[in-house]
Amino acid sequence: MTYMSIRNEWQKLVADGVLARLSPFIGDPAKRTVLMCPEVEEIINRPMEEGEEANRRVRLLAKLQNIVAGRHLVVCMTPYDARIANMGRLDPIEDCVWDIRCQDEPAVRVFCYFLEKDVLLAVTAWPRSVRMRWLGWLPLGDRYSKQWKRGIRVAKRHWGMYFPAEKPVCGDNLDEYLSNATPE
Amino acid sequence: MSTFQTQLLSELEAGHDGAPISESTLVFLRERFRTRFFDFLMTRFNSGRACGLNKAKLARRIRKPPEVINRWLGAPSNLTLDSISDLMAGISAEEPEMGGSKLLNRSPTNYFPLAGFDVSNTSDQEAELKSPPLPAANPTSNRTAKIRFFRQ
Repeated sequence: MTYMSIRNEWQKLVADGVLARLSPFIGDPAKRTVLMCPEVEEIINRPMEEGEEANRRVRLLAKLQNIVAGRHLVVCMTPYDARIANMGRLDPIEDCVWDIRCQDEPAVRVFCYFLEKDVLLAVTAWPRSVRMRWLGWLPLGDRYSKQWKRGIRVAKRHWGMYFPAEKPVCGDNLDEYLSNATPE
Repeated sequence: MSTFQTQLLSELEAGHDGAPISESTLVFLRERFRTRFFDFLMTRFNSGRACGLNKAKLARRIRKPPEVINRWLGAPSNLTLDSISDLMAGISAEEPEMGGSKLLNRSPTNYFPLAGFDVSNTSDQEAELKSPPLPAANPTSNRTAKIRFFRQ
């Protein structure tokens, strides 16, 4: 029952224009759903001058549309163990916060939640190691940095704002999060 | 459709005598191409795994150290035309079949934007019907790899 009500809630937030739904590249199927909080939507849609930053931004867009199209994903369920994964679960796992790992340099992390299977909420995007003007945050740095904790706090704050009465998908079963995905 | 996607299509529509295509459009299409090809290879590799294939066997078959296979199957950016050829030979004894698909004038597929749609009175069952469908089952065991990335 909870599963159904969260679906109604996210669909209502999209219909009301509170959250944005990322459209697939035209002609691609929409096998998964990526919802964007205003910060991520603004990053994706803001006009940008040509250059390295615009190039990095479109690679991020391609990565997110890749998820929407249902392409194969490698997922790391154990925090700090990810090497090649496209997505990883963050520490502490009880918070149910994930990141989309855009590894090509300069690397970007998008903090996200799973609302239900194959439905993600992209909350906020942070630079991994190198400061990027087009992302408003300081780089996350190494695993012990305060920035990681801050990023997770930001994600949790957004969740509480949009879905105060709901819980994101949690647990150790990858099949409850994603289709067409394998663990790292 | 995103602002960038609109810009991309208008640049491509300009034709051979149009202004130079922007760098970001070219970067975007390269990224798409790499990830789509990588997805294709991983799908083939996962099908092979069901028949007993693993990275060690693949490495031995195509005369490469295991760490090279790990790298090639680790990220789309590590692929080259040569590595694609080796991987397809080793994974499924295949070669790609060439073809192109126009980027312009495509029909949207099953995307349902919802924005502006009244879902306030939508029942749970209706909500389920409007959600994106689950992915189709994994691909084929065709001996010829026909790379059809788009619906015709």
